[in-house]
Amino acid sequence: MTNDYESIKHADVLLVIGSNTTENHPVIGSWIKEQKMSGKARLIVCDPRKIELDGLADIKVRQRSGSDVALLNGLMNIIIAEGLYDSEFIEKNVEKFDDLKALVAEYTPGKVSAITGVPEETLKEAARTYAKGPNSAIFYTMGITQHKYGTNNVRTVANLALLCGMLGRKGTGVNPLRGQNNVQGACDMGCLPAVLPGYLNIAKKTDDAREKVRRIWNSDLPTSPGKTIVKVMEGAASGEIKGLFVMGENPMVSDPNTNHVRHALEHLDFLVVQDIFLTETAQMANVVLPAACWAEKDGTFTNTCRAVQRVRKAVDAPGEALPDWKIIVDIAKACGASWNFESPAQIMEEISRFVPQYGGISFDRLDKGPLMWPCPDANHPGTPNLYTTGFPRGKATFVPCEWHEPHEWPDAEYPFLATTGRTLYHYHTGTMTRRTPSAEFIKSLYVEVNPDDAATMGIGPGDDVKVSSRRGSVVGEARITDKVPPKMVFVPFHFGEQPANSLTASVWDITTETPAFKINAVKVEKA
Amino acid sequence: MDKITVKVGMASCGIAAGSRPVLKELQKTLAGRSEVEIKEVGCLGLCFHEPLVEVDQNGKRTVYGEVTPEIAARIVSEHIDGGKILEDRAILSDETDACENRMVERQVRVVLRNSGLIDPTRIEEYIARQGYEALKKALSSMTPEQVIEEILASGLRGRGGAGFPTGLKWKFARASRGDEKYVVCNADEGDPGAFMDRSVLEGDPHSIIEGMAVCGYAIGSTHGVIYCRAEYPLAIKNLSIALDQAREKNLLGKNIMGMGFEFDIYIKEGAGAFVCGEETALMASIEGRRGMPRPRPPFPANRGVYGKPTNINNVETFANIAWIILNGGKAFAAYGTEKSKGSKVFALAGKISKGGLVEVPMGMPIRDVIFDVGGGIPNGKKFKAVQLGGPSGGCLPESMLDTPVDYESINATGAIMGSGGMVVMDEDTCIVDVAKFFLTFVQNESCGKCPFCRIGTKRMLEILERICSGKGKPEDIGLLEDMAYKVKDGSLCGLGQTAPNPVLTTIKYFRDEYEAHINDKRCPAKVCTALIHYTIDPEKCIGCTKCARQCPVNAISGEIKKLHVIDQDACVRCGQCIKVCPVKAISVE
Amino acid sequence: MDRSLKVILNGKEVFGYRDQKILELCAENGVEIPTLCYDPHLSLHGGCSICLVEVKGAKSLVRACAMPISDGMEVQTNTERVYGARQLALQLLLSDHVGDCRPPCQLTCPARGDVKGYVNYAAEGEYRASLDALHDNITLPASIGRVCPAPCEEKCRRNFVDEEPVSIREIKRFVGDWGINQNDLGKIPEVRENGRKVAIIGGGPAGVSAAYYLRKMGYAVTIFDKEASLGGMMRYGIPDYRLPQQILQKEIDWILAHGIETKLNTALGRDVTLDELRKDYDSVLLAIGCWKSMPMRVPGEDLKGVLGGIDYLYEVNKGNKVDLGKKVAVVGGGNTAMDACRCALRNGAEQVYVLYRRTREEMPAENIEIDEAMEEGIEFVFLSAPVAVEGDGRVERIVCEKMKLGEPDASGRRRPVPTGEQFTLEVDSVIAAIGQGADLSNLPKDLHDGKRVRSDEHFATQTEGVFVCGDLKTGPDIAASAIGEGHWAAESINHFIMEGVPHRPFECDVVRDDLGPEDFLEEEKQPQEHPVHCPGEVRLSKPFQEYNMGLTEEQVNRDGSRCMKCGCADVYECKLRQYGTDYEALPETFSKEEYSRPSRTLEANSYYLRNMDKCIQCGVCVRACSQKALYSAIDFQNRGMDTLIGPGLERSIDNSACVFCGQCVQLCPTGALTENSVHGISRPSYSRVVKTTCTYCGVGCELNIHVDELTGKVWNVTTDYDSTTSQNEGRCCVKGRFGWSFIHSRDRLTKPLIKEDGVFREASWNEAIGLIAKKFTGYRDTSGSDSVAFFTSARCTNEENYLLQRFAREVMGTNNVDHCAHL
Repeated sequence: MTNDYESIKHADVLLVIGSNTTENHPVIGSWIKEQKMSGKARLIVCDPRKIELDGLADIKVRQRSGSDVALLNGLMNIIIAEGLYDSEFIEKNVEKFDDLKALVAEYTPGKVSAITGVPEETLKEAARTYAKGPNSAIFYTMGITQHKYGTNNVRTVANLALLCGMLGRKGTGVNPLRGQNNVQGACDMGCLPAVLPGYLNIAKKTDDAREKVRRIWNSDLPTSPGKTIVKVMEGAASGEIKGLFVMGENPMVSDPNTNHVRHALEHLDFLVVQDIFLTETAQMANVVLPAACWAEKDGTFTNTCRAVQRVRKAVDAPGEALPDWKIIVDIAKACGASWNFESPAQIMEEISRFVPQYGGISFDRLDKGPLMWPCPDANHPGTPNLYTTGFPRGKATFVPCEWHEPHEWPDAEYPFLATTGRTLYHYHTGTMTRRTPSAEFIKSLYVEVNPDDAATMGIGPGDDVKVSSRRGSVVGEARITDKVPPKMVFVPFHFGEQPANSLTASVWDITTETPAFKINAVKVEKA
Repeated sequence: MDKITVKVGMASCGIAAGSRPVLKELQKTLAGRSEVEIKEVGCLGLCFHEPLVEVDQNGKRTVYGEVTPEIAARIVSEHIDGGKILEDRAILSDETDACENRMVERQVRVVLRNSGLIDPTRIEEYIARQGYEALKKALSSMTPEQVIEEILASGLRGRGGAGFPTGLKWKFARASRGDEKYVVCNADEGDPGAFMDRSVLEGDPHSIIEGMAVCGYAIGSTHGVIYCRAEYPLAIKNLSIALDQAREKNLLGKNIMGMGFEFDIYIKEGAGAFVCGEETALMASIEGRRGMPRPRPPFPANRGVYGKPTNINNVETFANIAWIILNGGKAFAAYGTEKSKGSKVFALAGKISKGGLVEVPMGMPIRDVIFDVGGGIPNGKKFKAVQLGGPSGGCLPESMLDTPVDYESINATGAIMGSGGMVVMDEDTCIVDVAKFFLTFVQNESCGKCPFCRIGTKRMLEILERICSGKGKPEDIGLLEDMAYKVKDGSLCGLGQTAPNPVLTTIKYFRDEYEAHINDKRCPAKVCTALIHYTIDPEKCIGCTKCARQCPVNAISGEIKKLHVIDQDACVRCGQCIKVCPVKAISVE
Repeated sequence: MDRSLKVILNGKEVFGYRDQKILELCAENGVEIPTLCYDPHLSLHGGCSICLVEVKGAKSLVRACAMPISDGMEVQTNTERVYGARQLALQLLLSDHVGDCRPPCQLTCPARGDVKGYVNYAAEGEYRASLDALHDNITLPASIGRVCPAPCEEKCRRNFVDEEPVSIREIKRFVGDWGINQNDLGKIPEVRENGRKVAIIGGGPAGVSAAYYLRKMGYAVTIFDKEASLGGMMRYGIPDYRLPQQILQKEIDWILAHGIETKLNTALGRDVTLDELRKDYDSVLLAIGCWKSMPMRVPGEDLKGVLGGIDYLYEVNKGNKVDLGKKVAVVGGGNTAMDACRCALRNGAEQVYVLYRRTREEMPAENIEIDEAMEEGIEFVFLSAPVAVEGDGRVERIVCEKMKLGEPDASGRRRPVPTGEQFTLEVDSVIAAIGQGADLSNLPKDLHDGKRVRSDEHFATQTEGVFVCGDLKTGPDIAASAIGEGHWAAESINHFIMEGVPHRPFECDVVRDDLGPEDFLEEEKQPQEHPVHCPGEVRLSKPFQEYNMGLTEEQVNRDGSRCMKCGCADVYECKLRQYGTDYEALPETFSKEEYSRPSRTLEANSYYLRNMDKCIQCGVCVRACSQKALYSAIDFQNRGMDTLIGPGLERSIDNSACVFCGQCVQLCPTGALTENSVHGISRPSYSRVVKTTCTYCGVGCELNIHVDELTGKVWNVTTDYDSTTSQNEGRCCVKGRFGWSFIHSRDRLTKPLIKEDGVFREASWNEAIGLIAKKFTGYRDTSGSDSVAFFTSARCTNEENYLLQRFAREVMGTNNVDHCAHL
């Protein structure tokens, strides 16, 4: 998030797109509701589904799945046409406005309305409301990113904010809501093939990166480009990857196209899984290492608004289970490394030397409260809101994007559109929540079906329905609700025994390789 | 020939007594008679005589009571056509010495100035009686401050019960800063047996509208809300008609009378929760929340409806406003006592000969209200107590009857003025039973917020029930008093703070009766069923079997022509046997 | 803030700011105002009426939570009027608060042992926790677990299900024995000395317990006892086959190890006087018990061979030989009589009679004692009362009169009525075990009335600083009662020394005594576990050895799990109970005419329990829901006594707008809303809070993890609305609040696993890590660095993610590092 949570209390307009906030980020959802219900802000909700926030929205934009780029370009078309953009901000801060203008000129309200299914009047109202602010904040999450053209979605969101100058002030911002507790931190720590900790680009092989690696790790930077999860899976399937080490992930349930994942993992020579339970993935491992869970270890998480926060040990881990960091240290030593980390605090000390944004972060400081990066030095108070004084690179750039048809679309054989996601009560692959009271509240897979479709197919509440795609099928209990529009079903992915990802395709965003979970052509039958 | 006006009382009290067929009869028999005009009017206050028909002819008025369609026909044939007053039926008359002339003479009619005289659905009639002239006067010739000064000078105090000076309230509301302000009329009349507000709302709705508009002008408000209980459908109907007519005549809306003042009113129907008469609960209810009082401060004048400065007055208070503006504060202050000015409307109910609405000058002794205006106790029974101020008021005994009706004097007795309910009880009333009755009412109406009110009144009620069922303990009186004081002391709102009043005043003035229940297990008024029993005097019983046949639980046995006996265990003390015994052989002990 | 407003608070001048509420001003000035409905994070409610204070000039009492201060305001928070109003409000709330605070077993226990706590810990195998919990109230669990008649078991509601209680006593014994077998009865804490001294006369269960609790409060305690060993009646009045002396000694030694001084062989009146002690100590506690046998008041009582029951047992327990002859008559029907007759048998008597004037039904002795006495061959002669003991210098016979049963007497038992018919038994000794009294001969006359030491409810005698407890105060009673007496006397002494007046702790307990079998029809039946029965002849073959071996561990686990966890889960957190205690508001001030009302919901969902019988309508939940959760799933419904909080329209919570964030549960001041997870044995007094960050979504909510220090396990997770470091401002969702129980899930991985032939086997860390290192370095060295890959985790810490990528890049030389950032 470019802005912190407190910023929500200053927003005059809240634009929520591709985020079922009250289910997936309930606390942020509560602030959005509070700000809306106190009468201080107008709320625009853009979602193909009738999510809870939709009920409070001043403007309800029920766009067709996969039409986000067109929708956002359409809003920009109106804003430019009506002169509602922030020319002063653009002048000062953004490049390539002409490119943007040229592209979005094509996206007339009429055309966009046809693509998105949103009435022109609604488009205009939304565009005007967002642009007029005075302070408008955008919130989005996987509904934007998990598409084949997800990167374009994100860029277009950024274009909109830049166009209206909705950055750098309280109450504004482009705010992606991170789905997992430490996605932000894992990225910050360089757990991506292309970047080192602190987002130092490996490909550039700058002296800075080399020097840092040499100085702090006393080693050389690997030269070959790394593989993403997607490519690792392909490599495993082809025999190129022999050994895979998985720490606390469960790709058998979380990754698209379950059958494909199984096939890949089975082809590995040696699979190590380090986890707290014998997950679906761990069951396929050659060695399973028992890890301490979050309540049993010290460390830090970095949340969605870049706040680095302390995690503290509350209880002892069961049996011989050890914290992940301790296991890694032991393995590294067994592989000949001369590491001598004895506490997470010590590791953070090294991180603060390696990662410029974490330069001023230490456990001592964190014990007094979270710090938001960038926090370059020990006296820096942290940065709640980004870009308050312009952009780090001098000027931002508009990256205009064309809208493309989704990779798959319902047809005669697979007439429904299935979208996958989380629910309030379960988390991700269910490893944890299915061992909590939520397991009793929601026991197994359900499928949200529109009442009209249910009536047509003779499906009653609680009936089993079978959802099948070209990849596979699942059976779940029907929940008949107008939260989903006709010809759409929603399938949560928490249930390993009926994995929603057996429906999803091995299709990824071309840039980030984020799976395109949100659009799947399926057929739906009474089971 | 002079025009003749025939007025039929068509307020709720009239309709309930059967005025509709009377009206129909009159309309039928007088059809086509252009010199006679039939009017449907509001309540005249003589509710015990309803249905009422008034004939105005040659500037003289005659009011007939207990009119049936047959009598209505006689009024047409004998009075209107025959020119002869039906003396046996006339209850008020300018010409003859009718029975209620005295009752009317002692009254002052400010609030009820139009009630029963005009057709409330016709704004012209209100206007004809100087209606909206006060508003015009205020808008055209007075500053808001001057209006407030006039109200202050009148000494008018809130007629909802607490008696807070109205002018002062307006002054606070005026002083309060806010882009929007509200004028709220509290028409949530909830006291059992009270119908002062209803009569005004039904019979003279414009007087409320005009009062509120003047208030809006004075405090700087453009929004008015009348919070009226949904159980008053006729009031709501008449108010709605009146509002429409006022808007049509530009007496509400933008730029009223072309004088640049904007004000409009809407009606909010209440769901009939007693506590919604409390101003903070009422405001919550207007906002669509549960009617529950909240602590003050902040007072409504600072933070009221939707957080905006708000002035809340009761119906009767607003009904006085136009009169004061027109006649001057001084004229109003001429009535009443030093601290309580003007007149007060009372609803007389219970064991009183002339139950109805009366408006008397402040300071009239209660005795005069009951015995002179109200005609005293019927059936030759003895006066026992009068309950003042609604369910949370107090019961005053014979010895307190010379108390003048003004705020201070009534408060000093332990009762309260309240909104003006006056329930008279005769010697057949058990005072503990009365306390129980009123406490039951407030207990059921508690909003549930404070333990004192929600649970405390319940526990007190349980003690009263225990006393009435003969299981009272000597320490119960002390316990009740102690609890009552603490409930009064600790409750959040007026409901809880006054709820124990019936208990406290009855203990204060009728302690011996409590003691009789507790110590002697005796109910002196012979009401508490657990403490009485019925016996058949063997000397008198003639064995007619009537009582045995009447007994609903077959508790009486006896052969014909032989002595009958009541099985005390089976007897439910319903009293049916007493009623049917031809020789008065059955007595209560 | 500009503190320009002057307020006279309880006579003291203090300053506050405009719009500051009285309650806030008081808090700033160290004056605590009780309140149940006020929460600084929620809107004002002003309902509970507990925060009332007196403001000069105000007509009625004022709500401190709602009333802003004004310049010159005079506020009093401690007047009788204020106290009275608060007390009544609490009494009223308690009168409408239906349920059990503490379970019936605990309330029946005279020592108030936390039965639910120690039984459930034992059921879970947490014996250390169980023993610690026991010691909170029951100082000598292994001993009490052998001799207590267990009144708790009579009240156990398991009786409604199985007609048998939970084996509370046996579980207690097991846990006590467990500690003894570990040679560790518990950690001895460092005592913070308070510099005050207390003398305790008598080292029986009452005196020892008082010493223990006083010592823990910081007192220097000295126990004086006339005997050579401590234990009193438990040592000298109970035979070894029931309570081995070494068990008692080990428990007493542990208590003394807390730093308690003893002066043995020191008798009051003989070696030391009360006046001396009063001079040397801040308080003196008399706990010398009831050691005088009651006389039978029949002719011949002074003959040689007539002994008092307790006198006889004393000799037996001291190991002294008592020659009883061959035939012995024991008079009486209590436990002393049973102990005496069975000892007589063990001492070599051939024929032992028990003479009792009523029948078996009325015998006060425990059933098991009577049964075992009968099994051992004791002859019971019921309906017989001694009228004379005869003999020439020594007992030769006892003359008895036949009795019959008449009308019930004051005790409810049928009164024995003489028949006039007499019979004679030839005996060599008579043991009169018909009762005991206190020996008051060494006490000042003004302390007693000839039978008992006079004292008030706070254990104080008429002499200032002198207290009394145990049998000396109550007359002969069970050991658990003496332990409780000692405990509460210690509290009262502490109050006396610290506050100047004796005061035993006020107990505020709402109880339900209207329950019966019909209320437990859904409970699964499960029979009680019993110790192995040892036959009479085996018992007699090793006469003074303990023969009851107690329950096995499996039996304890099984039987403990029969506990239905009666009582309120929030008993230690309930503010209503806390204030009820502070203001000594008796819940039974107003009779409870109606218990549970059907209109009041009792509803369990997957996450929490709503028991509207315990709701006090403070509205905290309603406000939390609308102002913090932003759902408004619940509101007030109805009016008057029927007012209740719920979703309305007859809906259940499951079908309401509730999203189970649990903020209402957390803020509820009573047990009306409780987490399912904490049902049973939560003990916040032994809880520590760890602040951490939630493991679920990316919001990063700060959570408080509550750890039960006795077991080292998480028992609850809450949030902190007052936290200055919190990102979430105290808010949270269902996962953060209730999604933690996986931590203690039984299927957690606890050992490294290596798969061989498709099957996992457990391995050591060394082996597993060695294998991984060998494999990965092997791939690196033979197939190249990029033949291995690493998935880090968005669920692990920054430190862990950093290390794994460093490992991949530095040690393995590959950039094949990724994690599921996009899922």
